[in-house]
Amino acid sequence: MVCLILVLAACGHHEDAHLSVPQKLKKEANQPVKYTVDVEDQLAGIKKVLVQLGDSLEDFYVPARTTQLKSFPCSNCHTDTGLKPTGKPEKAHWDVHLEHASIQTMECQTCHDVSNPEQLLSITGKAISLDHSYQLCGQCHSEQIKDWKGGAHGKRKAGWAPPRVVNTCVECHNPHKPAFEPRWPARLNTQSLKQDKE
Amino acid sequence: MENSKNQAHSCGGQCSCGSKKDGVNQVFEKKSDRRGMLKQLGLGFFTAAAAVNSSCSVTSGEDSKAKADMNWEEYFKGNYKLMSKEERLETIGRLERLYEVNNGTKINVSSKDAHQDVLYGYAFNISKCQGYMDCINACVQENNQDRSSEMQYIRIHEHQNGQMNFENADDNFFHEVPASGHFYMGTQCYHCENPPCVEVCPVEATWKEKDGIVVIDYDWCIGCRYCMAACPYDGRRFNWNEPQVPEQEVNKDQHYLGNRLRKKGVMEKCTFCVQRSRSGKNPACVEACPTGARIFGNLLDPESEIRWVLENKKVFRLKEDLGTEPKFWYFMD
Amino acid sequence: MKIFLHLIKDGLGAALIGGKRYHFWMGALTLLMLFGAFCYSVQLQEGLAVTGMSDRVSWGLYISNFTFLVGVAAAAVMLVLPTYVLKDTDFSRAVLIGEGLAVAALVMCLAFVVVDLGGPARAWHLIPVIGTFNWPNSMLAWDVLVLNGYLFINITIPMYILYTRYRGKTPDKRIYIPGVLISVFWAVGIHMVTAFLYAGLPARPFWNNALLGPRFLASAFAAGPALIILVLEVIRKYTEYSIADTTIRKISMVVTVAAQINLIMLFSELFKEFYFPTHHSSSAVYLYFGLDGKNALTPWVYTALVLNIVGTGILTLNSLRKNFKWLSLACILLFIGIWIDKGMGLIIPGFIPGPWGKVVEYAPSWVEIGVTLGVWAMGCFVFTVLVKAAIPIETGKMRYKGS
Repeated sequence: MVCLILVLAACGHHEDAHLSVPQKLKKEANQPVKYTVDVEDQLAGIKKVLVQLGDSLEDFYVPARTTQLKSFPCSNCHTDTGLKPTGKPEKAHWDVHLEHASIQTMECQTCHDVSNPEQLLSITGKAISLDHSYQLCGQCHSEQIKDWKGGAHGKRKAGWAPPRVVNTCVECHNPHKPAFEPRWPARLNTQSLKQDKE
Repeated sequence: MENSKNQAHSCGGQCSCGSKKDGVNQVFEKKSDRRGMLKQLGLGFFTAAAAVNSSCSVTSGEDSKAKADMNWEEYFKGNYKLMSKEERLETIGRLERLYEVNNGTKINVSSKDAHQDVLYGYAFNISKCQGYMDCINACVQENNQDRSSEMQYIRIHEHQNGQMNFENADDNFFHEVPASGHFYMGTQCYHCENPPCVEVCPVEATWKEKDGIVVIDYDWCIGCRYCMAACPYDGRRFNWNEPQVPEQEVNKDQHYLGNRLRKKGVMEKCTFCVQRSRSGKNPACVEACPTGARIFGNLLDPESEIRWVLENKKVFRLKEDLGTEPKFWYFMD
Repeated sequence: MKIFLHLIKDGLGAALIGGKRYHFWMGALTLLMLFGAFCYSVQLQEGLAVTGMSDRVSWGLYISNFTFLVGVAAAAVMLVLPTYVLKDTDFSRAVLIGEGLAVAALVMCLAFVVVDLGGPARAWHLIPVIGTFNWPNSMLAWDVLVLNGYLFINITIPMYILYTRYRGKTPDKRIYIPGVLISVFWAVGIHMVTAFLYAGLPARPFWNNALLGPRFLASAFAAGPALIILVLEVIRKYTEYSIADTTIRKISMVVTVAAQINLIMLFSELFKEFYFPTHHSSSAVYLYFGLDGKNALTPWVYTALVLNIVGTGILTLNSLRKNFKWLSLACILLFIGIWIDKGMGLIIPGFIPGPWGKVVEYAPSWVEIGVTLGVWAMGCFVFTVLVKAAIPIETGKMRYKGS
């Protein structure tokens, strides 16, 4: 009897033991999770907007861009209609140099609406809000936008727990110069160096 | 034994430390548990030491006695894994008070348990990592690692394109990164589902929590380093000397199983920043990574980012042939 | 009880008496022990950072010696088995010596484990019931059990025999034979468990092989009895305790066979590592040829190889083995060869290269060497006292005189 129980116990154990973690997850973890933890307190003070991509699997958010821009709304300077600013125009946007794709592909007007700088333009000329600039990037960077939607590209705000608030593209990438700069590592382990030399 | 008992009581009276915080009396009044015997055995030495102590320094007598009491209680406490909730709070209270007595500043030690339906997993994008090592600095600061030996849980290995042989990689590079023709790969504790380190520990000082984090009770570890020999991933670190963290740099938000201060002669390692992750935050390395190469989340949630990565990217784990089932995956864009 | 106290008193009394040479020997051991204690106090104060160990090579001289001495302790069984079970009287005079050696070796083993601990003050966590004992999962927990059990057996059996002899009676076989039988299996057990301690780690391919246990046994049954032969030679030269030539001859046969098997296994291992070296052979490559220009262990391991081959060769040749001078030489060669092979040559390369291929070498620090010497001196001291007390009882010179 005891032997039988032991054998049964052993078999039961084995059936589960040979499954890898991903196999087990696929088999057992398919239900949405009811969380007992969230990061709402971490997100206090961040205005979030719902991501609009149409085919999103679940709702997630990006931090609003317009509330973060220093010179927004544009009408602060551009009091007249159109692009002609009041004040000293030669000082404005002086630091913007476009280093994003080749000049054949991209110029200012590829993304900016000349007639209304407070919004962006899609390739087909549809208006895109600055809060939803990811829609603009996603036109060319289709692989990246897919990964970003799923969670393989980009960074979460606050933490892993709900609600899911994700940095927009422009929070890590300067849209005018999106590549990351090379730099030196943040540290050098001198102890380890010493150990290696011995 | 009888003698030392009397001594303890008379001392308690004379030094007017017979207030509510008298640890010696607490020891006697406490219901004798399985460690009671040991406690009493050592009591003779202790009371003698306390008597000497209080007679020598009149001014700090009460303080040092309270401290000695707490140290005493700390020495004889049990394995955290087996403690009741009350016992856990008791030891945490002592640790917080001891720190305050010793340093004059307050720390906050948490004993937060694992959340329901959470199993942590981690993914590392080797296309994204540029070798900046910001993660390491964040980790060291968050987790109060020894500054004198420059302990680091994370290592970033610089691989030459065309191979992934760690023997030819460099984990302590110092030049402009990313170096052309190279890619970068971070290693740390993988929090295996089937951790060999837990299996070998002779005193159960290390174990896997319900949310999958492999933790260490620093006060229960005897420092035999068997777990270190058993870990195939170089995930564990040992305090060869007394760890040193400047007081102003100490991260005061701590967890008993996480970043609280360690002592010499014990093991430690990455805990997925248990003090952060159990409050919903990302580990410090994930938060610090400027490239978004690090992804952390709940494996049991089919809608989590980590699950999306596992199901939609081509992922791999290191030394999968050992059957350790790391909960740490690598992938490429 | 009273008689027992008398036995202890008389025994200690016997240990205090001796010639100039004897006092010099004991004095030197005491000095070494004091030096070791000083070194250990430094280590306690500063932490294990004063040793040569690091996160890369996290076990060193201490665990190497521990591993070797478990073998020496286990080897006592080679004498116990024929004496008590097969009733081969040839060994009976050597058996108490063997068991004394086992006790001394075990004391050293336990001491080496304790000095290797980062938190020796917390060692009580290892005590079953009071602490948490990870049994049966942890091989180290097994080791703690079997080593202490073996120590208990090896203290009680000779103690019982000596005690009855001391009272002028003959020991009752029904009492000690079961104990002896247990100790026979137990001796194999302690060594297999210690081998499994390493062999059970897939993280270290150098140890993770099925041959480790058997090789441990073979090398132990060569090194242990080799030491016993040397000790018996010393004892019969310097004390009135006579040991027949045939006893030593028989033990030398044990050593010969074990050393031959050990060599066969060694060659089998070398073949596997080097016929088609894989990633898992890196440790062996480091050990025998060096890696990344680092080869601190290479001279050691070749010394061990030569010592083992020469020692085994001498023993294999009948004419040389029968010559006591050659025999002693072979025993010394084997003992040192196996000490290197199984200590430094086994434990340290297991860590090199590290899990991520890093080659960081290890060399013991002076503190570590001091502590190690101290522990060895303690073992020798314990052994000398045990033998000094046992011999007069065995020879019948010391008997309980009544009060």
